[in-house]
Parts: sequence; C-alpha cells; structure tokens
Amino acid sequence: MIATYITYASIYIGIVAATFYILAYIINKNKEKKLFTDKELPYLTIIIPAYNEEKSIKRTIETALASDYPKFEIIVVNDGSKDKTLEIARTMESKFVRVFTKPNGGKASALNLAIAHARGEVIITMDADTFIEPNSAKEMIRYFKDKEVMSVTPSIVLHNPHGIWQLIQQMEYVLGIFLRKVFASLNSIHVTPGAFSAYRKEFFDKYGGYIGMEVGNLTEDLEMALRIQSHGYRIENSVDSAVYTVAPSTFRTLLVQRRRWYMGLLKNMWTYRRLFGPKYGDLGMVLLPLAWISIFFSVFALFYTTITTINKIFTEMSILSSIGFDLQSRYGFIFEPSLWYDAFSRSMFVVFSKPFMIFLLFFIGLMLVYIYYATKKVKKSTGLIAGLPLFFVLFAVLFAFWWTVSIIYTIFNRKAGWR
Amino acid sequence: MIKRKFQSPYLYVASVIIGTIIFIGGFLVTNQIIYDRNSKILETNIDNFYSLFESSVSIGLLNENVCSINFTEKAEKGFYFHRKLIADLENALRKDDEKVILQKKIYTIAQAQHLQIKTVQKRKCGMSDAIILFFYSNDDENIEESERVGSILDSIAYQNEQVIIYSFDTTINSTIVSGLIKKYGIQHVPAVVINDEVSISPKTADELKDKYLSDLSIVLN
Repeated sequence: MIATYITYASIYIGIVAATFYILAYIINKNKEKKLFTDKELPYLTIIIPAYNEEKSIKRTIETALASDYPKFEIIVVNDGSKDKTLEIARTMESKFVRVFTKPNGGKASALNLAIAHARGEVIITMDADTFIEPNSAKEMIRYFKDKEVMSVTPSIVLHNPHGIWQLIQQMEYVLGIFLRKVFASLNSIHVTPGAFSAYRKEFFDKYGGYIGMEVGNLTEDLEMALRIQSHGYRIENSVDSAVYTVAPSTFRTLLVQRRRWYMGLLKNMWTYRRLFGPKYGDLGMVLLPLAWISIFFSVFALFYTTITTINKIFTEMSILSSIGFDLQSRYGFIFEPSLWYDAFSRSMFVVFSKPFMIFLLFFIGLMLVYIYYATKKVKKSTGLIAGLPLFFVLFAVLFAFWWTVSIIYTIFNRKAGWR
Repeated sequence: MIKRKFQSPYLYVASVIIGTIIFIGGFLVTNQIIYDRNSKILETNIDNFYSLFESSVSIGLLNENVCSINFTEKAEKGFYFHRKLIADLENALRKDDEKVILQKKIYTIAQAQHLQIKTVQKRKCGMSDAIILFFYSNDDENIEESERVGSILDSIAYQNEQVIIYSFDTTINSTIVSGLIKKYGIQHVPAVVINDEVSISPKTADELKDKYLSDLSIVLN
C-alpha cells in the first residue's frame, strides 16, 4: 500500500513538474534576449583537450575550423596521449590552430593550461570526439551580450548512434534538448556539457579555472556550472547550436561513465548545497529539489519492482510446479486461437484498469512532444525510431541501476575514474 | 550576485491546477474503463446464465425431465471465463468493492443452480461427471494458496472435460456459500470437496488425482 502511495505521489509530482516546464517554455519563449550581432561578436578561443583521440581529433579540428565564426583560434592540448594524437594535431597547426602538449594530468589540467594561453574573451571547451555545425559557435556566443551570462550550452545529440546503449543515450540527449531550453528560461541549468560549452573568460580570471581529479572532482564541467550558478550568474542555452558527440557503446563503459557523472554530482551537490533554498529562486526551490526527488523515486522503483517481480516469478514457479508444468492449462489461451480475442480483451482491461498505465501513456505523449521539438531544432538527430522503444523499456531501470551503483560507491568511498 | 527571480506565482498555481486536473483525469478514465467492463460482465452473465435459469425453472415449474437437460458447452466454459473476468475486476478495484461483490453473488447463485441440476442428473441419470467444489478466499492470508489450488483444479478440468469445478468465495456474504461450508464442515480455506470428501490445500494436481479422483468412473488424463 505504501509503495502504491509513493508511486502515485511520484506520478503526481512528475505531471505537475512537466506542466510547469511546458508553461514556463510557452511564457518565456518569446522573451527578448540581448544578442550580439555578427559585427559585435567577440574573439573566441576553442579549446580541445585530447587524450588518445587519434581516431577523431582530425575531424574535430576540421569541423571547428569550418565554423562561420568571424574571429577565433583553436588551442589543442595533448594530455600525454600514448597514441598519435599529438602528431595528427601538429599536422594541423597554423595561425588559427595552436598545439600544446603536457604530461597526462586529466582533462581539467589540460583545459586550465589552454585557458592560461587563450586570447579570446569567450572560450569554448570542446571534446576531441565532438563535431559541430558551422553556425553552432556563432549562435551560442551571441548570448554573451548579456553581461550576466557566464556560460552558454548547445543542443547535443550523438554522432551516428549504433547499438542498444548508444540508441538509449541518443533518446536521453534528444529529450534533454527541450528540458535544457526550459531550464535556461528558468535560469536553472546546472550542467554545462563537457562536450561543448562556452564560457566568458572573465569568469575563469575571477573565480579560477577547472577543478579536476587531482582534488577528487570527477565532473569538472558540472562543478563549473554549479560555481557559475552559486555566484549568481546566468547559464544560457542556444537551442539552434547543434553539436554531435560520441558516447559509450558498451554496457560497461556506459556504467563507468555514469558512475563518474553521478558520483561527481553527489559530491558537487554536497559542496554546493547552499544552492538549495529560496535565495537561488527557481533553481533552489524547484529544479534541484525535483532532480533529487526523481532520483529517489527511480531508485525506490527499481528496488520495489525487482522485489515484486522476483516474488511473482517464485509464486508462478510454485504454481507451475503444483500442476506438473502443465503450460497448456495455465496459459491455454496461447495454444488456442479461439481464445486469443478473449485473452487480448482481458489483457487490455488488466493493463488499462490501472491509472498507472494511463499516466504512462501521458508521459509517452509528453516525450513525443519533446522529441518533435528537438528534431525541429537538430535535424540530424538519428536513431530515434529504434531508440524510442528501447528507451521506454530500459532507461528507467538503467538510470536507477547507475544511481544505485554510484550511491554504493560513494557510501563506501570507492574510487571511480574516467575509464 | 544578480538577484534570483522566481517565475510568476500564477505559473506555479496554474501548473498545480492543470497537473491536478490531469492526475484526476487519469483516475476518471480508469473508472470509466472499469465501469464499461462491469457492464460487459453483467451482459455476459445474462447471456451465459439464461439457459441455466431457464432449465431450472422448467424442472421446477413445468416438471421437465432433469435427464433431458443438456447444458451447452458455452454455459460451462462461461463459468471459467466468468471467474477470470471477476478476478480481473477484483484486481482493478478492491475485493470489498460493491461491484465485485455483486458480480460474485450473481456468479455464486448461477453456479449453485448448475450444481443443483448436475447433482440431480448424476444421481438420477447415471452421469459420470466428476463434481468438484472449491472453496477459496482472496484475503491477504489465503490468496496465494487459493490461487495455487485454483490452478491445480483448472489444470485437471482443462485435461478432463468430465470434471466440473464450482468455485465459491468464502468471504462474500452468501447464505448458499455459508450453507455449503456448514454442510461439509470446512474449517480452513482453500478447501476442495470431491464426492463429499474434503481435502485441505492439495499440494499437487497428481496428489489430487491419485487420492480423490482415481476411484471415479471417468478416465483421467
């Protein structure tokens, strides 16, 4: 009974939150923003830290060079790669592309080295396996006309997703496009993606560079976003800036990535716990609490569903054993075509006689709206037809599983790395 | 630090109101589906049990020969399907819901009627059908065991057309069920009555067949 109440409480909160996001989007979508014109755009530095990225570094630099941004430089930092990353990057050196190399010290240290040498007023950090459209950078940097804006995020999707795990991630990224836009309108973005995000250099000068693994911070991009929020600045979103990145393709590498992200989130949220509360407006009172409530509910749902499913399996096995595994009498409808209609009709009733299923349909409809919005903005969002059913079936379980593992690792102070 | 703003209070209020309407709407849709299903089951009742009640009335009022009554397969299979439909309805609502109790009462009276005629047919007309009475309960304490025994009986009935099972929910307020419980001295549920012999919670289909059904004049599969 308690489980039922918790389930419906989570559904109610989810529906109210979704309504709030959609209303916030509608109200804020036509609000005028202060934007740079082409002539006003400031000098830009694109920083590409690279560790063992020989397969993608050339294309990444090429897509950055193909940008229609009027004045920019690229800084590539080879972070002690053991492959040919440095050699490939060196072949592309020019007056627009500078290459630095250093012993391996982690992404944060590579970014900090480049920030120290950057000439731009605005800096974009770009992963070495990320590709962009020619207009992506320009559309993002326009938002920096507003002096309160310290960072701008793009719309990120996966580059050419394949396999179950990447297709599921693609859906997650696509759904995030609408939500990030809404969060921006509420000044509540709390993650600036490491794959591609823009920052005002002045912020680094004033509040320091990235904090990385050397002090135990697993998610330097998340920490930077929370730091920007904690100082009261804005993080914007340029939904028209399409960015394509590569994601883990196996269950294990995906788990390692999520464990790092979520452990980083847990630790950084604790560090920046002051963000919770009315002082930080919608972020402190609505968005962050909702994020934690959803994590609690998902972990609860995983445990509850696992226990009830195991219990049901045992009960069913006990029944089958009592009848000598006479499947025909237990599941007779499967073997008897004349019973198929009745069985179908009964199944439909069993499914739809629970409000839970009606709400599930509501959320599916909502996701389709989010997906439609995202595909209008990022036309090269591929793999959605195959990804959608996989996402519905597996994501909630995976999400709860990643969180459970991350919480256990955090409680027992286990180390989590990048790989 | 820039001063953080909240969205307009109207946005929050509107979100809660709209969200609440959607939430309540979900329950209303479900209620409508259940209501429609309940009506459908009642219609099925009338269709399935009409011939049964007609036969009973013919025997009592018109002195029709009980041996000449031949129930259609539809009426007997209807019991099985009807029981499943009520179980679905009970699962969707609560066991003490008025709709569920009414459906169970109708089902009980129809079964009792059928049982009455079959018992007389067996005695007077030499019919060899095996009659099994199943007393169960869906209260939390007995539901699992009741389901298990119910499945054993379903399995036997599925394999043997001459086995007829009558299921009685002991938790509904029915004088017929109370009378049968008293008649057979049933103390615990689930209980199975075969040829006036009571078995409490048979463990397997084989046990039930060997112990209670082996001496019947039908060939069991």
